[in-house]
Amino acid sequence: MNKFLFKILSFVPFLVLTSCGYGLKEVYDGLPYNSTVFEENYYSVWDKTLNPDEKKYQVTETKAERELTDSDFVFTSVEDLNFKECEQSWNDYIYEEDVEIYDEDETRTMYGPDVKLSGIDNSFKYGITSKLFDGQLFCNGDYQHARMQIEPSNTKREGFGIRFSKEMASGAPYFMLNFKCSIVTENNYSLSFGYSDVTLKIGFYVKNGNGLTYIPTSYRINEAPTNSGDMPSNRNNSYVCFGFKLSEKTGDGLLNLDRLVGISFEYELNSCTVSLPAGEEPLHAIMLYEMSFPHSSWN
Amino acid sequence: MEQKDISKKKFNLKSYGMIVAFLCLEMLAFIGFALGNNFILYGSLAIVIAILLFLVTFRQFKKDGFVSYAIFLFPLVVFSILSAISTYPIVSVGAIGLPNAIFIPLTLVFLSLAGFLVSKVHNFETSKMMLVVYGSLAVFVLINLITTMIYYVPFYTLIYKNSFIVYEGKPSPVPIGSMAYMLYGFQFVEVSIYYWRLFPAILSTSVVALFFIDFKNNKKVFAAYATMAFLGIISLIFTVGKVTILTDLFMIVFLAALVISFKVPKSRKIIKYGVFAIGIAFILALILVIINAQSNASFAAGLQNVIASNELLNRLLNTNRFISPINEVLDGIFSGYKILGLGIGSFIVPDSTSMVVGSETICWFVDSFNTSGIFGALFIAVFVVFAGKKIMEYFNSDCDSQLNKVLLIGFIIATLGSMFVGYDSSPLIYYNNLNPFYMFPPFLIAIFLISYMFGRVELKTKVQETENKEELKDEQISI
Repeated sequence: MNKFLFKILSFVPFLVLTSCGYGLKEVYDGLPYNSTVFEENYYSVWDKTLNPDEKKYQVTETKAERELTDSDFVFTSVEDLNFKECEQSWNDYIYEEDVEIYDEDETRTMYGPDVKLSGIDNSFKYGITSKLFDGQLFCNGDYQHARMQIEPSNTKREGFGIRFSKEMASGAPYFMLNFKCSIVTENNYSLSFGYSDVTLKIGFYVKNGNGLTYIPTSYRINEAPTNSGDMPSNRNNSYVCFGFKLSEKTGDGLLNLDRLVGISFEYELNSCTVSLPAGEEPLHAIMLYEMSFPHSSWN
Repeated sequence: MEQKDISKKKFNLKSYGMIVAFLCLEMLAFIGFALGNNFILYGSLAIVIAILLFLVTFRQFKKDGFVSYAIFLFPLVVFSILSAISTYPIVSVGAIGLPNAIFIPLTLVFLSLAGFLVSKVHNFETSKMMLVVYGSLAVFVLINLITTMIYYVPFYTLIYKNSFIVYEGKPSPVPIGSMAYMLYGFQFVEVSIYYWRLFPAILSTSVVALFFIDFKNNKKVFAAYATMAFLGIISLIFTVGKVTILTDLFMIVFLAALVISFKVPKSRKIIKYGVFAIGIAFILALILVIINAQSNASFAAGLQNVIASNELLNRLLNTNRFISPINEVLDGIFSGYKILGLGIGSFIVPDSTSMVVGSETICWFVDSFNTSGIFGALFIAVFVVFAGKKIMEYFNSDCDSQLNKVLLIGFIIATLGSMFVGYDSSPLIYYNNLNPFYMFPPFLIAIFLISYMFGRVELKTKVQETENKEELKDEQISI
């Protein structure tokens, strides 16, 4: 009997050992990055495997930075011809709404909810970065629920690096992200509308034989709307829909991101047209709303 | 020549009966494992099995036996019909749609019939049936426990009771400590901890078997029940919480009372009075809660004022998070005079606003007002009373061994009891699917077992009546 009881109780350590706490990696008391103080909402978290300062850094190969050009079919607006080239179903989408369509006669579908990564794979639904994959391209008054607020990397490395739990199989025709800029003074004074000159630095991490290959890219946008409003009628002018075409076959000169497992986002602020009150120090941010590899598949 | 023809048309009832009985066990395992979590699938299986069982047993039960069973089943039939014509199945997104609502009465009735008919099959063993029922439940609980432990850690319900994760850009609707992972259909999803814990709570009743099995002579069966009880209990311990510790204590008291009532015959009288007293207290409490919940009834104002002015009563009946949804449902049902089932007038054009949806009462009986209306709740209550009476008859009869009786009674009472203080009709954390309690797999098994128990008691009575007159001649049937 004692032997039998011992056998049964030996199952307890087994159960305890299975306890990985896999779902407890990101635990919060409520919604984080939700402060009324502007600078407290900056998000700058790098996955340990993508951060060179960490022991778990897995990058074994770094490619030369690729400055994106028109030959990559870069677009900065949904009206851009390059975007129409990338998105084959361009005419089937509505680009100004991502929450609800009130027009009963509308037959087109909303672009954001249709191409969101969380709709493609459930693994994108978890964690604070899920804000970037939920199909919400615009603020819609949701503020902290909608955006990731990124600080410029002019003086030190900011931004973030995300490691996905799955890897991208071939199939994404293009990469897309939606953002606008914001600038306030140190004392949180609201400022008027203007434009920012920013250089986006987006890194892609692709699996290789024994680690990761880091593919850095950059693109300069001279007139990124800053402190712009959020009216659906004006969204093409108040947001930047940035992206570029990906390789669907080898040898076409485009970037190939098969086996993608991570992404990093940083930017540098070159200048901003918004006028500041005398003596006030500015705080600049990119408000990143969505990031997607539309029509991709993940393993 | 004629002799030869007759022999060709005969088949061995015993062998066919056992095959169908085996299929019946498979069905129970399927439901116990909650595979697919598909009510319609369970219903379809129940219909086929019940028809097959009828074919192999129809000569064995007398008409009067069937009539008494039909009367016994009547409240359940009425309840299931009222449930089907309610708006509830229509708005149970992903659960049951309007065209499929017919499966509510079909499943409940045919599952009951299967239970009743399988009790007539010769050599069908209650012990094997209970092993299958508990075994399938144990596999399900083990999968859920391991998955939950992979995502969380033991006692996370206490450690992370106020912590949240971010899901689709927003904090999870409930803290981590209030959810767990479960195999739901063919995928793992986050469900409410109350719903999750029902399965191990019911499984833990298998511990009573250990008091009735001789370890030295029956090591394998003892080991099986001990392992299953261990799984149930460790699941409850690993997910213990401030509220659930109370329900666990109730479960321990119930199991102790069950074992003592079998082991110490003298205690039966005390337990009987205890159960009677609890029943009376429950009816009085229910009347009190219903009256107190009415917001538009002037006759209740006096009593409501008394309750509101007393701190303890006010806390118990008005201001705690569990009573609020119960009051909401009972107020909505009685104030809206929804006596014939919710939405009966809007059967063709469903009007989801006419019902009290989304109230998490965590009590199946209060849910029955919501799912089936006042009459529906009344009829399911009558069925439970009928079942209780039959449980007492079964308890006092010698138609099964003590082990089988304690397991069968334990399963039924544990299912209805734990659902009474923990059934979450909206179990999924990130989806709004409504799961009416009558499609909860252990509830369906309990319905099956109640009818099985009826059949066993009935069969024993008939055998006693007829054993001096004639022997049963139904070993072979001519078709």
